[in-house]
Amino acid sequence: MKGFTEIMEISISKSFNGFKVIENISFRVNPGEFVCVVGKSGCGKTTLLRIIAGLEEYEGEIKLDTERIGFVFQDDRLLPWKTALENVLFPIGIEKKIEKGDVELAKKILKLVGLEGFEGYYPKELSGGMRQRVGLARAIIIQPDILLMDEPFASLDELTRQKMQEELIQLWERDRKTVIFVTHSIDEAVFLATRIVVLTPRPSKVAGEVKIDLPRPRDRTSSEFNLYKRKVLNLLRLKSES
Amino acid sequence: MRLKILSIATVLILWYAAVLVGVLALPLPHEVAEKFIALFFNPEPVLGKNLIQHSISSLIRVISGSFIAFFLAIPLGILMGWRLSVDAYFSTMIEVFRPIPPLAWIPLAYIIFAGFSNSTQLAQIFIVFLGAFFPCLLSTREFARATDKNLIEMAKAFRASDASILKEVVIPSSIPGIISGVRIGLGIGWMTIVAAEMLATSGSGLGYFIMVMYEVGGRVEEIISGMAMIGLIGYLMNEVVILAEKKLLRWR
Amino acid sequence: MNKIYLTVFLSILLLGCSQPEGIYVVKLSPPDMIEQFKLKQIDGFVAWEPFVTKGEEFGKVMLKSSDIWKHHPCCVVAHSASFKDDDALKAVVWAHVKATEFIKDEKNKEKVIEYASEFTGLEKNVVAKALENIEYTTYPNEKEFRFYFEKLKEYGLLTKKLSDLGYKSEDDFFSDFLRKDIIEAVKKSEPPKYDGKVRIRIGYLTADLHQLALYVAVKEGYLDATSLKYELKQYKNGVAVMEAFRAGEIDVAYLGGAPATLKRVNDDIGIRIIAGANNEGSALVVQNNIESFKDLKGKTVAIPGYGTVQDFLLRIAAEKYGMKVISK
Ligand SMILES: Nc1ncnc2c1ncn2[C@@H]1O[C@H](COP(=O)(O)OP(=O)(O)OP(=O)(O)O)[C@@H](O)[C@H]1O
Ligand SMILES: [Mg+2]
Repeated sequence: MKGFTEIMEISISKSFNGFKVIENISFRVNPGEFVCVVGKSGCGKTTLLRIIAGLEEYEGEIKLDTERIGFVFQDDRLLPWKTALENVLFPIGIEKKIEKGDVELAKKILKLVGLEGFEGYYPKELSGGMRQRVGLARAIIIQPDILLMDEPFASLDELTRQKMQEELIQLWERDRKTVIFVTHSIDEAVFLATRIVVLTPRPSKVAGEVKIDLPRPRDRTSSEFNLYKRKVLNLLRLKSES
Repeated sequence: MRLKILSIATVLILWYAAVLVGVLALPLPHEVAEKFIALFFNPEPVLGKNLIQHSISSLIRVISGSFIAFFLAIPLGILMGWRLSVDAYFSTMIEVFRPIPPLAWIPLAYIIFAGFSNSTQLAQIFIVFLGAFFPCLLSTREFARATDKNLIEMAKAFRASDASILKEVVIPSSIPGIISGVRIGLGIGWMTIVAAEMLATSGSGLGYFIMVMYEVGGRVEEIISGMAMIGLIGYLMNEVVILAEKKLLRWR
Repeated sequence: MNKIYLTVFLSILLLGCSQPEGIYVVKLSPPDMIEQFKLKQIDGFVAWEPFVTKGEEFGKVMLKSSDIWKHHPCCVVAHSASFKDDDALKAVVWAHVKATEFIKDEKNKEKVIEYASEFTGLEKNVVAKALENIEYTTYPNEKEFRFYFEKLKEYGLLTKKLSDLGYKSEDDFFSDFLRKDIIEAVKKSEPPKYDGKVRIRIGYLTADLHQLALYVAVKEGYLDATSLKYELKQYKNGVAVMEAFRAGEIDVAYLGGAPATLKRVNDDIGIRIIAGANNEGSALVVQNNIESFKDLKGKTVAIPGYGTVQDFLLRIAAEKYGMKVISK
């Protein structure tokens, strides 16, 4: 754990071919926080995560207190020729020779994400939800200090999606990793986040932040829950009308 | 399976019909079959070798030529597919040579290798090499180039080095292309060797066997037996590669 | 599992390689023989002139064909059985006989060498030497032709029986195949005036010194003297000439007696021989380091084709020394 100073502080903008996508996004993240970033489709959420992960050039400044970053992609991005277990081991295999202990760890993590018994399955033999769990397992096996998640549940049906959200929170409560979770679902954001960063449409800025003070497990039907949803929605609406 | 039998039966029936009606002046299928079986193990008197021996001579040439081709084409194809600069450097060279059919190289090959000991054999291996090289290279390159950019980005997000990306992402992506390149390469190599053997003295080999039988004359059954052997081996080579493909590409 | 495959593969390989000892024989076209002989890739070859003389530049003659098989037949003139105009054939044979006489006449030696050099594209000293080894003739020796036929049977090169071709006996076959009436009719020296309409198509082999008579017949105007209209067609080898006969491309041709006989019988291509061009003129040429015929054991000797006279020259010689001839 990194103590009380923030783990990340960013203030960036980004253009593609002279076309401004991100005007100026700046916010901070404290260790152990679960930050959700919401914004309209196309406002630059994926771009933001790619910049944080070092996959994209940018203007501005990023202060990041760690090198260990886990990334869970919008699409699962599993290697189709590797089994679930081998996919989870991928980030380790590119750094060193895989040892017995690594395999044990990977199996343990697969069990943690509910995939016990599916270690030898190829991606094409798994459902969409299962593939996302493998992707999550792959991101957390390197024990990242910060976990970047890009709409990982967007392509799942509502029930599976809620189940995955619950499991993710259980996981997070276990070891309190810092998470930046991108989504355009307000419901998902309010359910998961300790704090929500709302982005304006392109060129995007931070429209505002909402701290969620709800006890867990959260009840999606409670009036407080819906109050928060309205708050976030208002922030989104306000800015898209102006 | 039933359709397979039906398709073979159709060929045989057409053959019988054409000969019996008098359209084709050829021996009948069962006569050829008898000769084929006889020649399989017993030496044919003029050249003193059986079909197995001729097949082995041809196969040794094809396997040496095409394996050298694969050995060079696969790494080059992967590098060209992965790095545009490598591709730009080699592709002009390749596009100049590729349209020249391997068979057009035969005379020059015999001249180039005239000074070596075993020149005929070397020239033939070289021609097979040319026949196998380009299809394998192009197929490998195409698949390497079509490597999913998202997967490469994924690997980069996990801080993979270029070497790891090549090993873990680009090469596995190219494997289907490599396999089909090997399959096409072997097929073309097999065709070219037969032609190369017909043109020059090889002393043995199926193409040579067919040509000598033709020159001596009156040996249509032998000629067709030789052709059947070529077909059979070509078919088996293809099947072996397909089998390997099924094993290697279980994930597909 | 892999081991089993390997064993099977290796044993097949051994099966393919194990051979009894003897002289290895390969088939090469004569120009290739010279190239490979020069590069020492073959230890010897059996061929006809002028390749023997050319080969002597890099090696030596071990046996002349006359030492192995006296008066063996070589090139002949044949016509397609479907060509029925005997007057045209007489004109061709008359010119051939005249040309052969011209070649054999000592007086014309200089001229003949010049013609031979033009026809083959070789230097004069080479053709002059080569000409000494060729016995130009006007009709093949039937006894030797029959001996050749026996050899073809002995080595299993014939796939058809003469009865399959409609002949009652060997005599019956030879009296048809070796046609003598034409040559007998032209023995008088008057040119037979041809007044038919046919334009005859004559095939011959590229630069084959044995067929010099055709070139002389053209150059000395013997063919023109008969008023026969003709057209010359050039072929690469005797097999190609026989295929041209089959396809009806030519009416008459100069070609080797060997492909003529082989393809006559095996492929039933209807041709008849009306004249001879030459006898002998072949030789076994070897590298200088080969002292005796016995030294050829395990060595490679090239022949122009299976079932050719040269093939049998090698086999007959090998038999004499108790050796086998094995295809490489
Ligand atoms: N490599 C690129 N080149 C040019 N434009 C790009 C590139 N990547 C993204 N963009 C543009 O940047 C904008 C933001 O894209 P981004 O993928 O970050 O949006 P997003 O917020 O993740 O959208 P969604 O919610 O649909 O996933 C889009 O308008 C997109 O067209
Ligand atoms: Mg996105």
